[in-house]
Order: sequence, then C-alpha cells, then structure tokens
Amino acid sequence: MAYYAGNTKNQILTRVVDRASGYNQAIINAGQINNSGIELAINATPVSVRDGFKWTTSFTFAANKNKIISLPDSSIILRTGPIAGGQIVAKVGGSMGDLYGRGYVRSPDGQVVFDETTGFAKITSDVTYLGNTIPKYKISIGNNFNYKRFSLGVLFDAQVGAVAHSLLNYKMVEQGKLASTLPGRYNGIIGNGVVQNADGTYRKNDVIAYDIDEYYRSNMGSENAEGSTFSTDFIKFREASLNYTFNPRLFRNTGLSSVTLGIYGRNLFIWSPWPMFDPEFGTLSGTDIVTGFEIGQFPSTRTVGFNLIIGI
Amino acid sequence: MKKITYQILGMLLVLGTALSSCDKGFEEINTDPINILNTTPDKLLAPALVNTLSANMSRNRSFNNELMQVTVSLSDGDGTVFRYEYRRTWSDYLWNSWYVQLNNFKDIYTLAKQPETLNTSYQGISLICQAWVASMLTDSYGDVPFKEAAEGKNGKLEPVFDRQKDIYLDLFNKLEEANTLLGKGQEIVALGDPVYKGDVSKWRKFGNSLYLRLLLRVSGKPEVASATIAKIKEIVETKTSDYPVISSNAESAVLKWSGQGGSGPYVNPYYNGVRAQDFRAPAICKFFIDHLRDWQDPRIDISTYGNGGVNRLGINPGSTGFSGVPSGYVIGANLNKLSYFYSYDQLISDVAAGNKSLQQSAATGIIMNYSELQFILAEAAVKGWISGSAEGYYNKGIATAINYWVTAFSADPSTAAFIKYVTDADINWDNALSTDGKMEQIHLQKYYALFLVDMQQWYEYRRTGHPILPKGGGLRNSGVMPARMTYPVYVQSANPTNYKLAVSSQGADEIFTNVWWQKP
Repeated sequence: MAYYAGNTKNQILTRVVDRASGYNQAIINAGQINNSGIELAINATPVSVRDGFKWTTSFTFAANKNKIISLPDSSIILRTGPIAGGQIVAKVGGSMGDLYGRGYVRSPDGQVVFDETTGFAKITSDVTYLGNTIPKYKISIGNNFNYKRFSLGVLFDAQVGAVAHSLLNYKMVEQGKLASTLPGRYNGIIGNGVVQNADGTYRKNDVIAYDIDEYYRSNMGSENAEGSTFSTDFIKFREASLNYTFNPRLFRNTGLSSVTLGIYGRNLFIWSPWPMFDPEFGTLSGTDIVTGFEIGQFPSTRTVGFNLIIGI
Repeated sequence: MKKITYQILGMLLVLGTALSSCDKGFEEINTDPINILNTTPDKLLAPALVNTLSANMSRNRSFNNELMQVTVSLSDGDGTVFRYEYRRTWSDYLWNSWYVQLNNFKDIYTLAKQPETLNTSYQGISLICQAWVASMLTDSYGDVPFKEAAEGKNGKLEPVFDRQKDIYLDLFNKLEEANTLLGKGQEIVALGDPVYKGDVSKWRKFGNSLYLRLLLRVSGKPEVASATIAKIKEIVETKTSDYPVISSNAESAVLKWSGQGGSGPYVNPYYNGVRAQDFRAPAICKFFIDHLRDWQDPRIDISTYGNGGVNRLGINPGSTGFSGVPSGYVIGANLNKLSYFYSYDQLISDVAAGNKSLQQSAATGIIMNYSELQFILAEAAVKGWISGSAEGYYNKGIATAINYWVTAFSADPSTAAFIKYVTDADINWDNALSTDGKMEQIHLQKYYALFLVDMQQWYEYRRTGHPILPKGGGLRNSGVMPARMTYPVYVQSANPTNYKLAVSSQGADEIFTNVWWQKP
C-alpha cells in the first residue's frame, strides 16, 4: 500500500492558443499542480486445503486526486476535440483533464430548455463544464481457484468517475443509426424538460418536435458536446481461463514431463453506461495517446481459445 | 591505485556536474549549427499567398457560393449553409488559416526592415497582404484581434480584440504606407512572387485598388463617410499619378495556378483539397445559371467560345440544358441536380476534363480583379463621388469580367460583339433608373465579376443588399442573410477575457449580429 502526495511546479505542457496569436500551440511551464493518491495491492490465499481446494486472490486499487493550484493564465486549453467546442481545459481550482464543451441551455432548476416553436433542445453558445476525463479510481480483482488438477482464473477490472465525449455516438445519432433515436420517429416527440414562457418563467415542455432528425441532432449532434458525453465507468470481465493438467504418469513412456489443456477468453463482457463499443479507449494524436475524446474507434476484440501446453 | 584514481575522477565528475551553472552556453548548445534558422522575405511570400488563397477558395466554394446562390447542395441534413443555418464549427477553419498566414505576412515586414534584408518593396507588399487578410477577417467575424494579432512570438498569446472601425482606419494607414514604400520601386525576387513575377509597380496598383475596395465598404458609415469619399476622389481623380490602380486584366491580382494535376507548389488547391466526387456534387443554383443562360453569356457558350466541348466556367449543362436548382428550398423537396461544375477527372468525348474543369484550372486564384475595380468606380460615379461616367465603368466591368474567363471575347466594350451581347441580353446601362435600380444593375454584374473571389460576394451583398436574391421557403435565421461567422468556440477558453469583452462591445456572438459597417 502506498499513499503519495506530489506537487508539480512548472510542468511542461503543450497549450492550444488562440490562432489570432499567429500560432497553433505554445509549450509552456505551467503553474503548480498538486497530486495526491493511494495505491493498494492485496494478495491473499483465503482458502487452502492440502491436496484439495485452493483459492488465491489479488486485489488492486488506485485512486488519484489532482488540483490545479496556480496557472500563468486564467484558463489554458490543453487539447481540443473534434466537434462542438469540446476541449480539455486547465483552470485554477480545477483538475487536469477537465472536459468542457457546448451543452444544453438549462433553466435555473437545472432542467433542459427546449425551443418554444420547434421543440428542439436549446444549445449554449458558451462552453460549460462537462466532467473530468481522468477516472477517480480503478479497481482490479483477480481470483484463482485450484481443485485437484483443475485450475480456474477470473479477472475483473473496473474504473469509476470519468466522462468522455463520443464522436461515434454523435455521428450515428445524426445518421439515425442508433436505437436511442427511435422514439418519436413517426409521430414526433416532446423532449423531457421545460420551455420558456414569454414572461421569462418556465413551464413543462409541451411542444412536439416533428423534425425528428433535427431534434436528435439538437440533443446529441455536432453542436451539443454534452449530449454525446457519457460516463466511462465500467466493470469488465477481462479474463477467464480453465485449465486441466494431466497426470504426468500417463505420459511416462513418451518423454513428456507435463501436459496441460485449457480454454481461455479475454474481454468477455463489459457492464457500462457508455453507449458505444468500449469505454476504455485511447486515441492516437501525434505521439500522444489522448483520453477524453473517442473519435470513432473500433470495438475491442473478444478472444476465445484453447491452450495445449506440453512440457518436455 | 587504479581504484582510487577512478574514485577521485568519479567524485570530480559528480562535483563538476553539480556545481557548474545550468545555463552556461545554453543558447549556443541549443542553436542548430546545420539547419537554416533565419529566412528571407522572398521565401515567405509565395507559401503565404498560396495558403491564404487555398483557404479562400475552399470556403468560397463551400460557404460563399452556398450562401450567395452560386451553388446549392442537395441535402436535407448537415451542411445547410444555403438555408442560412451554418453551425459554429464553420468558424474555425478560416480563423485558424488566416491568422497563421497573417503571421507570415507580418514576418515579411519584420524581415524586410532588418538591415541585412532591408527592402522597402517587401515591406509594402507585406502591408498590402496584411490589409487583404485582416479585412477578410473583420468582414467575416466583426471585431477581431488585429493590433496584437500574430504577436505570439512576443508572448501575446491572448490578443485583444479591436473594434472593426479601428481596424479599418489602421488598414487605410497601412495601404498609404505601402503606396509610398512601393513607389520607391526597389527590386524583389521574381521567382518568389507567383502573382506579379517581381513587378513591384503592379503590386502598388493592386494595393491602391484594394484601398478602393475597403474605402467603399465603409463609405456608408456616417462617422467615416466624408473622409472615405474624399479619399476615393483623391485616388481616382485628383491624385491619379500618386495612386496608380489596376488598369487591365493582365494587372489583376491573380495567382495563376499551374493548370496541372499532381502535387507541385502551384497546383490548383481544389485539385488536392477537394475530392473529385465532392467537387462535382453541388448543383449550380438557378439564380446563378439562369442569368448567364438568358444573356447567352460567352462564359457558358460552348460552340463559339468554348474549349474542347466545355464552356469556360467548366459547367456541365445537365440533361435539359443549362438550368439550376432554386436555393433555400424546404426540407424534403427532393430536387434533382441539373447543371454542375465538372471535376477534373470527368470524361468529355473520352478525354478527362483536366484544366477545363475549375478544379484544375489555372484561373481560380483570384485576389482582386480589374473588373471589380470597374464596378467600384461605377458605384462611386452613380453616387456622385467621382465625375466619370457610370455607364463607361459598368460596360468596362462587364467586358473585362467576361474577358477574364473568355480571352477570345474582347475586354474593350466598344467592339461590335460586346454591343450585340448587352443588347441581346437586355442589360444595357439604363440611366433613367433610380439609384437603387442602378445599384442593382451594377451589383448583378459585379456578382459575376466576384465569382471565386474569396467571400466578396457575401460581403458586398451584406453591404448593399444587391443583387436581390430570391428567398426559398426553407430559409432559417428569419430569412435574413447571416451577417457574420461566430467566433470559433475554442477561443472562449483560449482567450476568455478578450472574448467576453468583444461580445459585450459588439453584441451576441451569433450569425445575425451585424458587424460595424453593416449596422444601420
């Protein structure tokens, strides 16, 4: 187990600058960022019966918290996303990896405001805070069960507390290829929220949007980063394997010392609110791997196979 | 003994590293002794011109032409610029392209001022190009960073936005200075000047013509009207020898592309920047093609003035002869494409269109042409600012606009062919018309003269309301021509303080907020 607290001063960062400066990016020494976190690893053997059942387990946990203490400017863009003003911005008091973008116009009590004539969601012209793209903590649990000549291994991974923008979701919504765009396709739809009255007060939305293409575009399309930003929390059934080791006496005359036969699988299942293929992605941008913006990645592959291990 | 020696050496090494100062020789060590570190003005000019024109042509095609009814996309979905409903994502491209090039043009000035590369002509050319790019920036966005723009290397990463009026007044100063500097006629490198091949006097003429374009643009604002009108008169009438202007199509500010395919430095940007299937995708708009067809215009004439079965504007007539799609149509109208612009790879009588298509043509890199100048003068004459004949400028404008594309058609409006053309087309100058009627006459022709010239058609329409465009039922933005592009969204975070100041001074960051010269 480890607890750490590290303060980084004058970190070298690449900053996206207003092109009106004549330049695309500037490399800067950025203020101060304080990190603290905990890392925990436990390996245990809860059950061990001689010549019988044995259960070993390993558990890891990592959490990190970071806070920006000072910066040379009030806000610094670290990276821009492909659409809707999506961007990773560093601000004093915020954290590295804070995601901003254009989102829903909201009434004072936080409800989505819809247009009083068209029924489309209204979209801010300013960028708003949409969440942090760096997970708060990650957990991994691995178990191994041995019984006589059988051995079973399972591994689960999880991460909690981050969001990301999905380009794939926006694109598929605009093309009407997702089941989430089915409601109202033939009869129109009333968005869940409010509309503004002429006197400035709000009433529950009662405007039917008939242009369903535009309705979903206003909700999750290229203008609305919030609509296609989702939690990347997940629990993954990462790995499983089942092996049987044959009795070596069977092969005494063949010269083989051991024979093991087994089946295994990787990426077996994902439980996640993320609507696209896989909430765990990295997008290549130059030499960096970027988190926070999923820009049309392929699904991760599930692998299932069998092993035959022969020892000579 | 050997071991002790090593120990001592090791300690010295550690001490030496620890005690020596970090920045000793820092500059020298970090200066590349092999590669070129400093450049010269002539090396910067051509790439900056090509890159600016590439950006202009790209958005002329996809943005200006859609708004101004040259083309119309057959789309009910995304990219409905022609319905006055473009998204904020449109804003980034030109902002990002123009400012980086503005930086290059500014660098030309800085370099041409240094003793070892001192050159007054490059200073002047730089000022003209700065005025050209900055005017497009402010005409598209309104108040924009200008005085502090392109100063990133001096630490200005968050430049202040200047008011459009201040920008214009400064551009006039720049163009005055350019005229003086270029008057000295210092030689420049011909090879590094793809526009005028090193002819400094022509740059001077272009600078003064651009000066007239910009003066006219703000001439309707009461607070600057008298000064600008006086200046126009000075340039055109009282001080003509001090302010030479473009005097023929050959002197037009045009970057001639190679006319070839491939990937050379002067390949038409449409060739590599737009896929062939995309280039021929938009339909030609009814407004644009109907006039040309009804006038029996030489520009779309195939039999007399054409080139290998293609008219000079590279327009495919479509199955029913030249006809276009009305713009601003309602969603679900299900219209069919009729006429369209050929792409370079289409076969015409079994031969690829090549440079007969605008996609590969040499003629599309227009910065400012002679014909535009004639229409500027025609408008000034109609408004009584100059004494010349509006009719003369008008006819000259038409003849040179046609001649730009159709060299076989004379640029001289006194020829029989020209007289027959305007008479048959019934576009003779009508002196009996009201001022508004004359403006419509001038600006309908100017619209064709400004074909492919960055976003000038859009700016001029916003300024004058001419030519009168038909309005379809599918228009958004209350059916009003959008007045600007919004600022790129990332600027809100990259330059937050100045962005907020600009919005509070100019008005909401929306496409319907008028820029200064357009405000009533």
